[in-house]
Amino acid sequence: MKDFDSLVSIWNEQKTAPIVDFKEVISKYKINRSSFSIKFLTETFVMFAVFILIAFIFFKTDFQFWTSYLGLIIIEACCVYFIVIQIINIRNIASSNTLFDKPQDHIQFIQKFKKSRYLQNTRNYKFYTIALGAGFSLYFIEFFYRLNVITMIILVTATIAWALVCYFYFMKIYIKKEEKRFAEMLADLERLNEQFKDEE
Amino acid sequence: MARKEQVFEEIFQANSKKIYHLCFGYTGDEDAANDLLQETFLKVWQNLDKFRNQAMISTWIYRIAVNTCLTYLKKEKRQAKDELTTNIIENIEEEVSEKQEQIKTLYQCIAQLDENERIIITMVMDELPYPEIAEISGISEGNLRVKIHRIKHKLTELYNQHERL
Repeated sequence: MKDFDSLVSIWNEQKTAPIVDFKEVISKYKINRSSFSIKFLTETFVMFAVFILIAFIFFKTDFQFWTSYLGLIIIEACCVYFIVIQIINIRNIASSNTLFDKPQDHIQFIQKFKKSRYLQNTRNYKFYTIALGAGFSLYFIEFFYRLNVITMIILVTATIAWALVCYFYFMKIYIKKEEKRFAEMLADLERLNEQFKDEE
Repeated sequence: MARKEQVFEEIFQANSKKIYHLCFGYTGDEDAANDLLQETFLKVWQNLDKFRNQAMISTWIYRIAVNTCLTYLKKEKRQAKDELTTNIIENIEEEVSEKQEQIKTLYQCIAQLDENERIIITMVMDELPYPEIAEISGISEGNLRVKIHRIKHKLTELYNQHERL
C-alpha cells in the first residue's frame, strides 16, 4: 500500500523529457506562418480573380435578357460571400486568442466558434449552393436562344446533373459528417465545461 | 531577433520539462505530448512581447498548455484507453527496472482520471503552489483544495489497485 507522498517520490524519479528543441519551435513557427498565409492568399486571390472575370463579362457583354444580368449578380454575390467569410474566419482566429484565458472561458469560446463554423458549413453552405445553382440557371436562359439545341441540351443537362450530384450526394455526405463531428465535439466541450466549473 | 531567441531559450529550458509532464500526463502518449509541447511553445514565441511584463511567466505558459491540451481532446479520443496503456508501456519499457515499472503504472493510473483531474494532479506532483494551480485552472483556491484532496485519494486508490493485480 502506497500513500500519495510515495507516488510523488515515484513521479520525481522519472526521466521522461521532451525531444523537442527550442530551435525547432522557432523554425516550425516560421514555416507554419508562411504556408498558412500562402494558402489563405491563394484561395482569396483565386476567388477575387473569378469575381473580376465575372464583372468583366457583366459589363462587356451585351446580354439580351435581364436574367443573364441577374444570374451574374447572384454569382458575384456568392464570390463576395466566400471572400468575406474567409476574412471573418481569419480575423476571428487571429484576434480572439483565448489561450490566455481561464480554461472555462477558452472552452466557451471554442464552443461558440465551433457553433458558428457548423452553421457556416451546413445551413449557410446549403444556401450558398442553392444561390450558385440559381445564378447559373438564370445565366443559361439566354444561351438557350443563342446556342444550337444540341449544345444547349448538353450544357444544361451537364450543369443540372452536376448540381444535383453536388446537392443530393456530396453535400448530404458532407453535412452528415459535419453534424456527427459537431455533436461529438459539443459533448466533449460540455463535459470539459462542467469539469472546470467553479462549484463555490 | 537574437535577443528574442535568447529569452525564448531561457524560458524554454526553465519550463519545458514540467509542461511536458503535463502534456504526457494528459495524453499518455509520448508523440502527442511532444506535439502539444511544441504547440504550446509556438504560442509562447508568438506572444513573447506580451509576456515580458508578466511577473509569473510560468503561470501563463501553463495556462496556454492547459488550453492547448483541452482542445487536443478530439485527437485523444481516437485512442481507446487500452491503446493509451500500450503506448505508455512501449514508450517507457526501454529501461525496465522497478522504478520504471512504477512510473509506467503511475501514468496508467493518471490516464484513468477525468481530464481536469489529470491536469491538476500533474501540477500538484510537479509541486506548483496551490494559488498558482488555482490561477491556471480558473478554479477558486478553496474549491481547488477540495478537488485536489479528492484526486489524490482517487489516484492513490487506482495505483494500489494496479499494484495488487
